[in-house]
Amino acid sequence: MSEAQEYVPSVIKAEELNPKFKYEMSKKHGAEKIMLCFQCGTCTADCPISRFSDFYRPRKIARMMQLGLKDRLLSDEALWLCSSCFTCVDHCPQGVEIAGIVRVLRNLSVKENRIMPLVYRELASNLLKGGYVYEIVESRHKKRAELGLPPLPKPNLEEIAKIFEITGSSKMLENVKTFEKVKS
Amino acid sequence: MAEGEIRIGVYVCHCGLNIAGSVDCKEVAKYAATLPHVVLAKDNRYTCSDQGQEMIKKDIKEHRLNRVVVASCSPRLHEPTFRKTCEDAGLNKYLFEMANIREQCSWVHLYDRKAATEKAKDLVKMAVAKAALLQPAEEIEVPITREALVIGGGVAGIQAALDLADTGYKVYLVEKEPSIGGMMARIDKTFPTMDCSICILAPKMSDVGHHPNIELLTNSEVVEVKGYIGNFHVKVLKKPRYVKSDCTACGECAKVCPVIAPNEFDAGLAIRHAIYTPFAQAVPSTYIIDMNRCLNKDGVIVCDKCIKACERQAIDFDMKPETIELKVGTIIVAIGADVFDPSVLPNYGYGKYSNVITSLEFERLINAGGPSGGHLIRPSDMQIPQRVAFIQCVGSRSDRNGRLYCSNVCCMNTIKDSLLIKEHWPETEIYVFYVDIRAYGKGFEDLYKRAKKEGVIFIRGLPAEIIEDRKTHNLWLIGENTLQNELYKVNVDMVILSVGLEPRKESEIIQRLLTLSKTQDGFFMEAHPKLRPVDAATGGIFFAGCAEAPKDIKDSVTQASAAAARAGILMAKGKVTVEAITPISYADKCKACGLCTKVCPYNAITLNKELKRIEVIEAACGGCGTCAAECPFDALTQNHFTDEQILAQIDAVTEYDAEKKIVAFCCNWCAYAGADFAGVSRMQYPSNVRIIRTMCSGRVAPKFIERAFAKGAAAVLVAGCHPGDCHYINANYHTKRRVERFWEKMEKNGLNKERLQLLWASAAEGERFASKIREMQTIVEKVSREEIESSKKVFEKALGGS
Repeated sequence: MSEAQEYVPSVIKAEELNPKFKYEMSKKHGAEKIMLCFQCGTCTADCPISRFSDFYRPRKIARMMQLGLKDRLLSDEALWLCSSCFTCVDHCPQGVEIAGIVRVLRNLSVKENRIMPLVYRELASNLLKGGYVYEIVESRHKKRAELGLPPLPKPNLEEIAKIFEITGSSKMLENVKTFEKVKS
Repeated sequence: MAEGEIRIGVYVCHCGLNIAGSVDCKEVAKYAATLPHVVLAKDNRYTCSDQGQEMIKKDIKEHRLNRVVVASCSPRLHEPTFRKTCEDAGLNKYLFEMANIREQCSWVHLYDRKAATEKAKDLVKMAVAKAALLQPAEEIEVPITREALVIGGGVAGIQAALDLADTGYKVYLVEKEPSIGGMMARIDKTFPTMDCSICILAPKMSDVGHHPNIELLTNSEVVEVKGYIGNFHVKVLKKPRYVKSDCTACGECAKVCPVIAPNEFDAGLAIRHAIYTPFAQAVPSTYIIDMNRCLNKDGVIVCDKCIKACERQAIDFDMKPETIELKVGTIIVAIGADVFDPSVLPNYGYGKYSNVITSLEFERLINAGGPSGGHLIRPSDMQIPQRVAFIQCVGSRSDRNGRLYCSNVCCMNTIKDSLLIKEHWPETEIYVFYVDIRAYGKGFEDLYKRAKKEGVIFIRGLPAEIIEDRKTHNLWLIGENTLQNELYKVNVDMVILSVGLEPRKESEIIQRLLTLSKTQDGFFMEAHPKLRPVDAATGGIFFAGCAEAPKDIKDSVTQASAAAARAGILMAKGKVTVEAITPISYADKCKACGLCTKVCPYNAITLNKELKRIEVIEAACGGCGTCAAECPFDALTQNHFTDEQILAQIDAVTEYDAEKKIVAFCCNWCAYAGADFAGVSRMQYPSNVRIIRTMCSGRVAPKFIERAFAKGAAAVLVAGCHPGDCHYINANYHTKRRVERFWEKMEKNGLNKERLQLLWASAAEGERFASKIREMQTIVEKVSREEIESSKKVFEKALGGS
């Protein structure tokens, strides 16, 4: 009996479903064709991440979006596993851009202050500090010069900071919860 | 025309509360009575009822009415009813006109009684204005030749030919291959009954060969079709067989022939000689020489082995292609479908991995008469496979790899194939990878259940790719089992790709020869998807089998019998009447420029260069009116949709408050029907639109649009069928061209081109129509007085000559 009490079945309750969610999402660039997905599984079958993960299933993300399981989707760390290789986009028989859908969901997650991997905050701070997402070490500049490549353009840090302010990115990055690693 | 005074009777129908609920019918009738030529106007509850019709008949006689206008539902519904009423009372049916105040007024303006009533008045005024100009017309009769042509000798063509021949009509059956039989002859068993396919087909094939009413033309192609319903002149190119019909099919020739080639009938899995018969049951059984393979070319004989072997001396290298001319009354198109070629899909490795085959190749392998004598062997090592996988939807349901539609037959074909394997080798492991299994027909679900009972494993989720083990030539399938949310990696000995069906490559030639339309999927389009499913839009032509859409044997046979019956009805009658909406040409104005002949989708207009005039073949005319819209000299107009009538309707709309109104031209088949559908669905839209019905949007001449603007209309809508879906083959492409040119003209004159809108809306797209009107309302609101005045000025010239 005690075992039965501890067991929490994974049930989708009707009140969790938001029938309007898919319409809202289908207005966003990249997620336009979400309604067309017929769950053939080609995306998961092709996905290089899925082959090494027990729970990252692009097909499932598409289904959850169709069902309107917004909260589950946005609080799911697995959303951040996609490497944006776009193989799923290339092979989907219905032309659904799964990678685009993932991007839309990630943006929404940050916008609504849900979750985001910590690394994004670091990348943002790199951008603000040096104008590049990755810190470019001095030796790299030298190497370029040796190879006869033109020097990298000098970033306008003031403008970058301004963009961060105007778009509200700074605030979002501050407020969103972060996590270090996707729990498996 | 009836001489003397025009006397119009107007009947405003309440349709219970359907119209009277939102339109004040009494007031509309009172208003109608004030219109010119109207001698009486009444309102009543149900005009279409017997009493309603009797009243009209009585009035026609008592009040000497010579035009009748009924304001009620859509003419698409009751125009035939009231036309008959008029005829019964001795009034020519072309003197009747209808105002659509239900679907296009009361139902779409449910909550604004005042606006709906005003609109109804306008619609009645337009109908009265047109009615005053109506002319009586006689429909011409065209005789029908009592002979039929069937193109394609698959099971559909065979059935259609036999049905017609049994009815007593002479039938010409043209088949491009050396034998009839088509796809069905190549299949091993049929689903769901598991009959031997060739065993049930062969007797029918032989019936065709022996039928006194059927002339079989194999190895032949239709190269020219001229004429029209009842009177088609067809040229058939009969290519030489190089073997005379004296051949007894003994096969001695093939035994000695030194040349070998892949056998097309066996999907290239077996060989044949240069002289061959495609398969044992071929009809005609006469052998044929493949000249592309034979050593003897252009009459130079270097090898005479077959000639020597033939006891009957049936071989004749001097045979020449013949052109046969036929005169037929009806044509049945049964050209079938091609199978999808999966070699375009790199991830499945077809053509690269020897053990990946198609379902058609499988049929030949499992067939006792096939290359392996019915042993399912895998190509790499000729061993019987222990584990077999089927992959569904190859080339179907995909907008990237193949076709968007479901090919209809592959699910059941795979289930049948899996059972065939189980029947012979019950130990075989069979996996079917699918997205959805469609077992919708009679006995289909039973067969599906049987396959599951036999242990066939169905896995939902298509493999992403197939990887071959280079040593063993076994295959790995990798994908997601979507029902378990898990990935699979399955190892099998052989993979069968369940390939879909696609339109024949040659279908474009047939389309051009017979002036047919196609739906977006590339198959031929029926005249009506529900109610005329085997008729082509072009009169006298019918479809059978996969030419119209992918279908199984049973459906092909059903459709073939239906097509034969439809063709038979025409031929039994022996004549056909053509609706009097054909062009009228004025020889005095015609400059013999020939523009009309170029836009006619039916080639119904020819230019007589000697007499410098055009000639209209009324029987071939479809009645779209595109020619009339094209004529720059006003030398051509359309019966029952004359320039004067349409201009009178425009003038009626724009008499008052033109600057608030939208003049909409809608084609009868799509846009007008779509607007009706918006009404049936009670979709609400602004009430300032006035619809003028034309048979095709191609009838809308630029001068009509000019007239509307010259009269101060705020906006004009031209609406027709989607490009490619036109009921007059391609007439709406001319609509597009004319509207685009009109936009340029508007821009050049500094007018806001948004005021002229073009809409493609199908009969089912009521919402599309309604939202277009809503969108145009915002444009109308923005149009300023100055803009109205300037467009009035620009198109001033259009006011002359109504």
